[in-house]
Amino acid sequence: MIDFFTANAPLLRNISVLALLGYSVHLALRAGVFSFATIGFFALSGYLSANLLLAGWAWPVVLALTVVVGFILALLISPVLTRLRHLYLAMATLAFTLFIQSLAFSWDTYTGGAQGLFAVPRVLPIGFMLALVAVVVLLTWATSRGRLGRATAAVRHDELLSASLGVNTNGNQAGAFAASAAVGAAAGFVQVSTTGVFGPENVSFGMVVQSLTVLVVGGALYWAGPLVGAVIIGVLPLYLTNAGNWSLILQAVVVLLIVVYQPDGVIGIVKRAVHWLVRFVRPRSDTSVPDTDTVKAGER
Amino acid sequence: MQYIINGLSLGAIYALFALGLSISWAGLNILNLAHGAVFMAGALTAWWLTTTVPAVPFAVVLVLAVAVCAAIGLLMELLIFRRIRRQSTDEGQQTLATVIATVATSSLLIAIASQITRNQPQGLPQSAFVVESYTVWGVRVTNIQIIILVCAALASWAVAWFIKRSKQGQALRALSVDRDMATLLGVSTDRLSMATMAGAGAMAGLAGVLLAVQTNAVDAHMGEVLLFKAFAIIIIAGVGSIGATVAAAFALAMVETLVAAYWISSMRDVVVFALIMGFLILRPQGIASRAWQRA
Repeated sequence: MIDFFTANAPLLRNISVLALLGYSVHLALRAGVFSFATIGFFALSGYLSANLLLAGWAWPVVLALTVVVGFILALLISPVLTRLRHLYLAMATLAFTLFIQSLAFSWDTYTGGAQGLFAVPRVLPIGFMLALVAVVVLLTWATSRGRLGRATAAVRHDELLSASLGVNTNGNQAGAFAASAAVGAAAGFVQVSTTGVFGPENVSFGMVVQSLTVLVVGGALYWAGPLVGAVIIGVLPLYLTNAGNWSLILQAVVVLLIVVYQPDGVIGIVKRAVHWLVRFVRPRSDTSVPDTDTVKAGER
Repeated sequence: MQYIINGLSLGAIYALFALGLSISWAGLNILNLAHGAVFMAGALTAWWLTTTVPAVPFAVVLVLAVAVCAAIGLLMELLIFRRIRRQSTDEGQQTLATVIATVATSSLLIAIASQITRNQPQGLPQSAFVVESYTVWGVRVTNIQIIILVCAALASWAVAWFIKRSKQGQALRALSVDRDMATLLGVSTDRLSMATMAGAGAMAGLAGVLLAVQTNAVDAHMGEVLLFKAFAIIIIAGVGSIGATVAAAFALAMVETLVAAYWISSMRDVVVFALIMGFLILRPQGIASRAWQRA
């Protein structure tokens, strides 16, 4: 068992970072906040943890600090964001990420400029990394049901209506955005403390696409979606040996195909297949499956 | 005075770029995050043409690059946006799917471009365009700066005419106010989307070629920076207002040039981001709020 972990450490590390990024976008999207800011927080925390680790801080302190910083920063920005909807929101959050990217290049005494930072101590034990991902998955699952889960789904579906039913929509969305930022920050910490390097390529447009790929491939609104997506996207490069630009091209094409033809992702396909099989085995049971977003909210 | 000339030519590029983004957003409800990549594709086409066919005149390069970018815009509409529009019934879900699709398209174009340029910034050959500079009242003006300004003026005039005066433009405005009603009255979303996406692509391509010639550099990631600036311009101007977009483009370019000249040049983006956030807080509808636009 230990051998398996050490042998596949790079793969597990990749999957963990991707899963955390996916969950970061998912947590915000669940409340109807379409956020590109994940990569911004990822980079912010990446550079912060790299500097602190280089200065010799203990890693649990660094992890806690970056997560808290991401959370608080998100809460500070959220009054601006909760006023916005749809495209304005997408644009404002992407502007945040592009701003961080520009800082990464220009503030080179702190970020290492175009070269980035390297030789950061790789201190995070693999067990803790997996535990961190597990905690995020569990929390996502736990908050996807019950009162909070239903309120969140209602906010996503119709802000006005849910407000009239007594849901604190602004608070809900601000909380979701802050949680998203905290998870994004955790992803940045994991990236730095397991690979030892962090540079501008971690703040690129390609990274934004990766976080969306993970989300879309798995199924954007299922609680398990990012995990499934991360495993698929993480394992895929093993079979594309001379990857480079070609794997990016392939990823983009896959996202396009899924968005256009299978908006529910892999989990959606599997669910439909299972449903079809059940119908096939028991032809008589003509159960109509509730199809709308709100009804499904409980399952997700 | 020299800074004003430099700011003007930068502003013209910004205006060309931001107009396409603003119109597709206002009219079609598409936030085209691949706009920067289309811009880059224009520059890349110019680079590829001038390096493979050395003797080709500049006008031909310009026209071909613009045509390539218009074709990319058209293909995005036909292969992606149209299909998403057909399949989803929910407006919010459709918007989300479209935005994700544009991000993926952007990444696709950038990855292809990186493959072509071998991940290196490339320069146009010297013979592609002979830069001449004139000195007027002690100010250095290059011929490419004049071309940029003329192109931007012509293009923004054409867009303004199209939106305000032409029948198709009227239909596009109707579409932005109420899509269902406009469709009932016989406006063809499909035809208009094709025209708008192609036009927006063409303008991005034009901006791409002109900037590539001015700075003499083509890089796969050159569009990302511009996307950030265009966001600021659109937020300041308000979505879909043409005059305000052009004005905001020149104003932003001026501010940037002056900050870089008299303060610290790396503070430029901090100022731009502060402007975005400030306008989002104080006046999210932009300076021209009563223009035809979606909230």
